[in-house]
Parts: sequence; C-alpha cells; structure tokens
Amino acid sequence: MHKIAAMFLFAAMLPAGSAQQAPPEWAGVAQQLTRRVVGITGQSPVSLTFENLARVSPQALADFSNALMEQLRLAGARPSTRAGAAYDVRVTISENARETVFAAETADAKGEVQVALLTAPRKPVSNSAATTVLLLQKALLVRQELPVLDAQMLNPQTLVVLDQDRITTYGRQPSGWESIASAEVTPHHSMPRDLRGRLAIRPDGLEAYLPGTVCSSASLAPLTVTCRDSDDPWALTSGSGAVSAFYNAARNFFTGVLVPGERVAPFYSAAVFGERSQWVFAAVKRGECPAEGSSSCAGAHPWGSGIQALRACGADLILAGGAEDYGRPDALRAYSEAREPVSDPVEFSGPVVELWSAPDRNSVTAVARNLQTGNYEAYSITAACHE
Amino acid sequence: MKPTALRLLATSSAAALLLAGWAGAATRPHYGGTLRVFLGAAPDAGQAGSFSLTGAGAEFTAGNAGSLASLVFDTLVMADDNGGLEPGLALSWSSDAGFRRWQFRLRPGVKFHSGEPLTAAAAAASLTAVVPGCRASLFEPRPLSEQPGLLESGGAGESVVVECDAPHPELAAQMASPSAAISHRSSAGALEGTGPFRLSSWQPGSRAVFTAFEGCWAGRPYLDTIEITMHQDLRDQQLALQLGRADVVEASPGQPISGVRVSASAPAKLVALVFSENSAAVADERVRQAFSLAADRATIAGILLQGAAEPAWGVLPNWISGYEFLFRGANDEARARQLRAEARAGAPITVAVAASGDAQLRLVAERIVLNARDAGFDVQLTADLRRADAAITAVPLGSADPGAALVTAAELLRRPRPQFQDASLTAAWQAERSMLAGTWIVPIVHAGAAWALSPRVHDWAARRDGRWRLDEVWLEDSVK
Repeated sequence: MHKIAAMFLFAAMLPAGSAQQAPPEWAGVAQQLTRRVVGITGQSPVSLTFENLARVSPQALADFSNALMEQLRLAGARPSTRAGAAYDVRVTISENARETVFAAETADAKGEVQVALLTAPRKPVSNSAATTVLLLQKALLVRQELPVLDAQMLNPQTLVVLDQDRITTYGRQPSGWESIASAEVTPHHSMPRDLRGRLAIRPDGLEAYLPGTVCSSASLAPLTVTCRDSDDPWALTSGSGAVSAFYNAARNFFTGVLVPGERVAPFYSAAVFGERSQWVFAAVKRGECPAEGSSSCAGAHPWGSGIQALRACGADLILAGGAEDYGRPDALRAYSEAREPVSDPVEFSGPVVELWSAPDRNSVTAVARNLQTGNYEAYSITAACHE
Repeated sequence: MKPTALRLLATSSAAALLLAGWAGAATRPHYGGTLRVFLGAAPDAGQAGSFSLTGAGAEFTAGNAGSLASLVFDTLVMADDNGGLEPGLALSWSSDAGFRRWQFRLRPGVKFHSGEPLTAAAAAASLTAVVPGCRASLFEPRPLSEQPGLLESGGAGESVVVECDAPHPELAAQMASPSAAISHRSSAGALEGTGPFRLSSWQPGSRAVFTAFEGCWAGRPYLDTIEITMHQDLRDQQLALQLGRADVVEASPGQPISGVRVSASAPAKLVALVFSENSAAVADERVRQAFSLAADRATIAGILLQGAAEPAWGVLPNWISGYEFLFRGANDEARARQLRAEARAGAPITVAVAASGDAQLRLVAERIVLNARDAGFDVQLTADLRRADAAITAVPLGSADPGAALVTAAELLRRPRPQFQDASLTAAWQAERSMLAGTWIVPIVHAGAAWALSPRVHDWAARRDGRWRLDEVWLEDSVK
C-alpha cells in the first residue's frame, strides 16, 4: 500500500486585505465608530456611504458595513444607505504603513463636517490550510522576531533554540512548545553581519558555536550559559567519523579547514554524507569546487548558499534552495546524489536564511525570514516516502 | 523505499521542475568589492538640518543627503518600513505618561570610527538642540512619584534622557531622522560617527569615497568601499551603467530601462508650492487657494512625471498617513478664477524653483505657472528664490511614521514644528491640518525615487521611504 505524504502549509501569512472576512477586532472598531458618530448625530436618521481605499476584500468591507449599521441601530440611530437623511456619514477604510485606518466624515445639513479617525493593527491573517501531495514536510518549530540561528530537537519533547541574543529550551505541552529555560548569550566581542550559529545539544548540556565564540551550559534546564572567545571548529557531522570545520570569526563562511585535517576552499555550507568522499559544498566563490572530486562541487547547480544532507527512504539526499537575494521568497527541494530533483519544492514566505542538518540527518532545520511579518520561522524539514 | 521507487520519484519530480519553474532562494552575502554609485545632484549644504563632517570637509543635509549620512552616522532608533521603530544605538526607550521625559538605554560596546567608545555623555552632547525645547543629558535617577523613598531604575548600562518643555509623543520616532544622528568630535578634532562606513575622501560636488568600518557594532558591512560620483546627468549615468562603469544610477520610475533591474521607492517625497509669508502679492488666502485649485495635479503626476508620482492633497501620502483622502480636493479652474476675482489679485506673482538644478522640479514649476495663468493670474518664473512670492520645493519625508515625517517636512519647509496632543493618528491628522491651514503650503504631488542596478548588485533593499541600505548590499564577483 502506498502512503501519500501531505505537506501542511502552516499559517501562510497574507496581508489582511487578502482575507475574505473582516478580522474579528473590526467589531470593536464598529462599536467605537458608532459611539463617535452618534455623539454627533444623536438618534437622527443618517445616510451612510462606504469607500474602500485599502486592500480590503469586498466581503470584509460588507462585513464591516453590516456590523456598523447594526451597531448604529442598537444605539438608536436610523442608518440607511439612501440619501436625504439629516446627516451624511461617509465611512472610508484606508491603510497606512502599519495600520488599517477607519474614518467617518459626518456632515450635517449645513455641510459642516466632523471627522472621527480610528485605527486597527494590520495583522497578517492566516490563510486556510492548503494540502498538497508532496514528499517534503515542513513543521513549524518556532516563530519569533529575533533571528533564529539554529533550532534542534533533543527528543520529541525537548526543543532548543539559539537566536542572536539567547538560548531557550522548550518543552512540548498540549498547547504547543513552552519555554522552560532561557539564558542570554553574551559574546565578548561584536558579531559579524549575517550572524550564524550552530547548536550541539546533549541530554546533559549544550554548546553553542558563534563566530569566534563558544557558549556552553552544563544542563538544558536550567540553562547556565557561559561564553568564551574561541575558534574551536563547528561540528558538521556527529557520531563516529565526526567532522568539524573552522569558521571565519569576522565573516559568514567556513574557512575550509576541516577536522580531522583536510583543507578545502572556503564554503558556506556542506551536505556531508556518511562517507568522506560524498560531500557537496556550497562554495563562497561561485563555480569553485572546494575539494577535488566530481561529487564535491555544488557550483554547477542553481543552488544557494544553504545545502544540507537529509536522510530519507534509505538514501542520502541533498536539501538545497536556489540562488536569489534575501528579498525574495525561497523554496527548498531535495536532490538525489546524482543531483536529480526528487521532490517538489517546499515554499516559504521569505528567504531561507539558514539550514542545518540534525545530527542523525533525518531532518533539517530551515530558518526562513517571513517577508510579510519580518519574523523568523524555524521549521523542521523531513521527507516521507513510499514503502 | 525501494530504489525503483526513488528513480520513479526522481523522474516525476524532474518533470514537475520543468513545469513549475524554480522559485528563488537565498544566497548568503559575499564580502568585498567597490560599489560605484552615480548621482545627478551633489549633497546640498544649504538646507535646514545640515551637519558637517569637518574632518573630511564634507557637508551633508538632513533633507537630501539622508542616505549618505546614514552610511557614516547612526541614530538612537531606526525607522522600519511600516512606521515602526527598531533599536539602533539605543536598545530600548520609554517616556513618562506626559511624553515630556524620554529615556534611551544605550547599546553597550559601540565604538566611534576612531575607536573611542560611545558614552551617554557623547550621545547627550550630540542631541543638544535636535528638538527645540528639549534638552539631552545623562540619566540620573529621580525619586519615584508613587514611592518618594525609592529612586527610579535606569536599567542596565548607560542611558540618555531627553526632557522637553512640552509633550513630544513623536520624539522617539524623531530620533530616527538623520538630523538626530549621533556624532562625536574625536581627539583629532574630526566629526565622526558609529555607522558602517567612514568617509575617506570628499571632493566637493564631484566625488565621495566611503570605506568599511571594521569595528561597526552591527558588524562590518559587506562592501569594502562605496564610490559616489556626483553631478552626472541621467544620460551619462545610464551610459556608465551600460558600459559597466557604474553599479547604481538614478532612473525614472516611469521609464524602465530595457533589460536593467530597477528598484523604485514608494512616493515619499513631497513636491509642494510654498508661499512666502512676506509677499504682499499672495497675502490674501483666496489667491493661494486659487493657485491650489488651478494646479492640475493629475497631469503633472501622470504625464509630466510619467506616472512616477501621485497627486498630493496632504503633506503626507496616504501610504504613510492613511488619511490623506480627508484633504482631497479637485482641480477647479472656474472656482480659481472666481477666487482670484474676489481677491482682486492683479499684482504680478513670481514663482521660483527651490533647487535650481532639479529638472523635474522645474517641469512642475512651469506647469504650475501655466495653470495659474489659465486662471487669470499674471505669473512669471524667477531665478531669484529669495524674492519670489512662492517656490516649488521638494521635501523628502524620511520616515513612514506620520509624526516623524510631519516634523521633517515642517523643518525642511521652514514651518513651525507641529504639535501633537498624543501619539494617536488623530493627533497627527490634527497637526497636519494645522500645517496646511492658511494654504501657505499647497501639496502638488508625492514622487518616488528609482535606481537602476547592475547585475552584480545583490540584496539592494532601499527603504520604502527611498533611503538606501548600502550596509546590506553585496557584490557578485567579490569574495574576501
């Protein structure tokens, strides 16, 4: 029997205007606007007109106008959409860079106009979940304002997140992940732009690798984090035959010096398979092969700086994105060792700014910056396959 | 998974790739290289809010050189594209309930270009006289009003306090403007900043070179150097781009260049007709109103400026304020004639262009004069800005925050600083209404800016208000 894997698009963020219905908080706006209008008109008949200058759907506008008419009736006013009432009220829904703006211009018979202005935050609204038949699955781990550098699950109940300021341990609760410990990361020198970091977690503690800095804690909860200047190599793989790589403390790439000793050209990331001969590097210099060997160079492919190994279906796959700028949405795709695509793209609401394989390589953590909200979203990417 | 299944999967997905195309994805920034920028105008030292880099002999202004100034100087807070504020040199800020006393907690470990540390004393000295009626000083804890025996907490690290005679709910947003940049005079006597680049060469009116500041608190910028060549006309700029001698040149949003990537800002520059309060010829408000009614904004925005602008009725465009429609009017030549007649306006009126070298502004001025003549006025263009009855002026608004943008506009238009009752949008609307009262300022259009980019320029992300973010830009063929 074949199982069909489904990808769940978690809360794809869209502008409020693209939502079909009025956001719930607009009910409060209708109430406040009613109070302001009735404060001018009393219970006289009012003629209402509506104008939409915002990216608000016709349905949302209709919802809001119905809510306002209802509130006016409850307040004793006599609203209608016909002309000729004692007061004309022109309601405009507009928007500025951060808010939805509601204006009621109330004109009396002499043409004197009084204005009431109200605002509501223009929150992104979740779209209804879409289901697509795909093999790559993405599960949201954490969403936050500060850039996430790495996020790893020690086990299904414990998640550790490294961001530019803190390390936080989360425990799984019925309502979702809940912070159980958190500690500041305090490097002794300023960090480079495009900051990167890597977690190495164990049941009894962790290390967090940052440029020129290693921070450690002897337990996951509570976290007691101490940082020291260090150029210790960052772990690329774990277990037997583990490989680490030195990171350039003033830049955003690995120097190319591997441990155990081998020297390759500087690279941003590497998909490291079980055997040392099966490496693929995303070189700093496009088109350059960091190491000798036909399988080691990612330069011939339309991939970006982030590539990682993903183990699925008994095979080692390469998870990679494309090669555009940070201002564009991103997509990840799995490739076979022969560089053939073996999945459809998994799309994100912004650029994928970091990819790290889990130690067992059965999942990859992808951090994306949502271009609509500016938030950073860490996902666990896994691959499901036919049996 | 059986190998056969994987092969099948690979085949079907490869087909999907061809059908679906490839969605873009991210490339990490590369370090190194020189970005070459060509500009039409040189930064003008004559406007309000100017400050100088005396060490290098350069003069910048808050108005038209905000992008250049932000390379060298930082501000306590930074404005985002949505009108919100982000930490800059201050990690956090707060005010008292009356918006008279603001406290900014400084980011630790920040250094000026000379290596001297940023201190609260240096920041306070830099902010002196930035906001009239406000004084900056080092934080000193005061007794808590609710518990006089206890002192207020300043939090960790150093803090700067700004105390004002009147409420200033917009003050935090105002601290994001270039005029509130933090500067410092080094022991060698040069004015320096904490920004991502330092000015290394300045040839007035022709060329500026900025080099990366390795010790920048936000991290060294990706570019090594930025070379700015000034006073290049549009044709020369485009030629330089095509010949590979420039990486960034100015472009007209209404005239895309074939095959070239163009980045355009939101309409964040106000072009307005500003009347002189010393002029007898325009002393009657009906004359000024008639000019406003006669101005054919739609033609100016859509035809003269080729769609690169929007008709303006408010100081702020609707994308910043959300309420510009409350000021909207209509082109009404008949009513303009009527008002002119009622005012018995017969004296000749002169209109100047505030920036004489700005061809776009001159086009607008010529059309305004034409429109006014159609309404029966005796109007002439003049080169004598000081004696003109009115001037066509362009004002970069500099922020997506309504309050901060209004303050900037008032400064650059030399109008009284707007007063805000509170931090609400209603207070901003009331302040803007006061600015427009009397029809001394007649908004004409809101214009955008655009740049054409060479293919080697990556992560170009100009702010929505048109200012650059060159510290985030990187170049394709530079790895260091």
